[in-house]
Amino acid sequence: MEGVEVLGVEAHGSDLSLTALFLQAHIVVQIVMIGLILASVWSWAIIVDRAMVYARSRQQISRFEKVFWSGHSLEDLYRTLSARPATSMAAMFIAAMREWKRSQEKQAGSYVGLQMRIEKVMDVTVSREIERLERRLMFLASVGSTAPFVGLFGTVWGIMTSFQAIANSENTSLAVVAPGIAEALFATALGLLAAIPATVAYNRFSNEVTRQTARLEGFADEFSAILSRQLDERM
Amino acid sequence: MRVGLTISCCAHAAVLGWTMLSFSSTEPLAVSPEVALPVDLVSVEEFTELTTGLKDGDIEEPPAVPDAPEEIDAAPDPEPEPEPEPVPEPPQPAEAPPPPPEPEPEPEQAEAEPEPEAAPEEPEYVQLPRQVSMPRRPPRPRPVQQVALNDPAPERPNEQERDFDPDDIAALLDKQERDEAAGGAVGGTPDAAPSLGAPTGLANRLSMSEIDYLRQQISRCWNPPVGVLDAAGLVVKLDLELTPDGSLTRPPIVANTSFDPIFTIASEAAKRAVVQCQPYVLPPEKYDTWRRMIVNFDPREMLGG
Repeated sequence: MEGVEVLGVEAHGSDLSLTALFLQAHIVVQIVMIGLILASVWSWAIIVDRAMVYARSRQQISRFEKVFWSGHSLEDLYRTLSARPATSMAAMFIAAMREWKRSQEKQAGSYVGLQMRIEKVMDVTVSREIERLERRLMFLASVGSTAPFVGLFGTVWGIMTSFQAIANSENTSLAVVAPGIAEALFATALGLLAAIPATVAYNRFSNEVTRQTARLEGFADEFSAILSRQLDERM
Repeated sequence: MRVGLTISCCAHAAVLGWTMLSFSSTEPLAVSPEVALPVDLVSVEEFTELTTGLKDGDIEEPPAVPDAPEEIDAAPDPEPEPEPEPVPEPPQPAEAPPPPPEPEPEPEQAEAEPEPEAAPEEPEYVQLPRQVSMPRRPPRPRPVQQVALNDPAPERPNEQERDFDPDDIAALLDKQERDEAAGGAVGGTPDAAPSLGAPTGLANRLSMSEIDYLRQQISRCWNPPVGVLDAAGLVVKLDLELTPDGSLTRPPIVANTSFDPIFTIASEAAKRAVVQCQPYVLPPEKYDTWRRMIVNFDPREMLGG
């Protein structure tokens, strides 16, 4: 939105400035350009947001693993962590511990069932975490794949109309042909401008999600192993 | 998400603002003016007469060439008259002397010469000077021999004045040729002095006028098939092999084929023409170039004139 307004500010620049190109363009091309600028703005917003989310999440996981393997009692850890809302690995730990506690309080049911329940709970938490990490990545993917085509559409449309105009004016000098083509190519430029960062970011972020998922699943396996050892000791 | 959106919007606004500032002043392409290449138009004849250049040769006097065109301009006026009456002829050779170095002996010969030349002249003989002047090497007596080969009759008067300088007759004939050509190739001054020319130029090709002359010699005897609508299919190519004296070494060979039944007639006519009109008069020092030739017989050219 903002980009569009900025475009509109300087209405009368030199003939081939970006503003003039935008204003001279056909309405379809203008819509395409605006859409591409909005897509670019939104995808950059997602990129910034995701980058911050992943950095925070990675940091949290590292800190939690450090604390978890430092030899503190799990009860203490549970008590401190459950006081405030937790994310990623801590959330998994809390979910598993809560299930464990609940089963112990009731003193009912078999320990075999407890093992299964804890794994289930942790699986659910992992999938919720993955969902949280992957949120909005699909937008980047679709911008990366469709923006060039949208830009190309704008270009084709612009060239089409400019050629029609040329045919009507019955003048084929380059000075007549050039502005229309320049304005049409501007749409492709915008499409690529939106698509390239989106594609790069999508590849990077999906890689990041895979890595964090692997870490979470590894922790889930390890933690369920610990709990199962404890259960065996109690039997 | 809000943080990301804010950052993104600010970044886009900044980038758009910057591009608008930088792109708005797109400078027009500086088109460098193209340097004009000096081109000299050289006629085919001038090109064929390019001789090997000598870098240390003496520079020729340039005003000699400008003189010649003036004479050509002046010449056509007296030209039509000489044929009915040979009286105005002498002035014409009298104008010629300026280019050659010795003007003294010229007028005498000029007076003696034009009368026999103008009177018994046949149409073929008009071609003669063109042929004679081709060698453009005054010291050689060959032009006279060629003249003898072609038309013995008009040559006799020339033989009487054997003693005269062949340099002069070359100049004279050259001038006559120029008159006929009506300011055609003004070209090179006829002298053997080395000139600045092409490095490999040996001037050993047949020039256009020589080819023309040969064509004229052949077409005298040629009766192309007349009344044929499609003359395009009747182009006959003959492969000729000549001896140095201009006669055929073997019967001409038809070098192309056609399914047109009239083609046989046309090719026979062409062969007949070639055999009948031998020997041909061609510059002997270029024998290598005309020893073997392929001659096109095109009825269309004939009909067209």
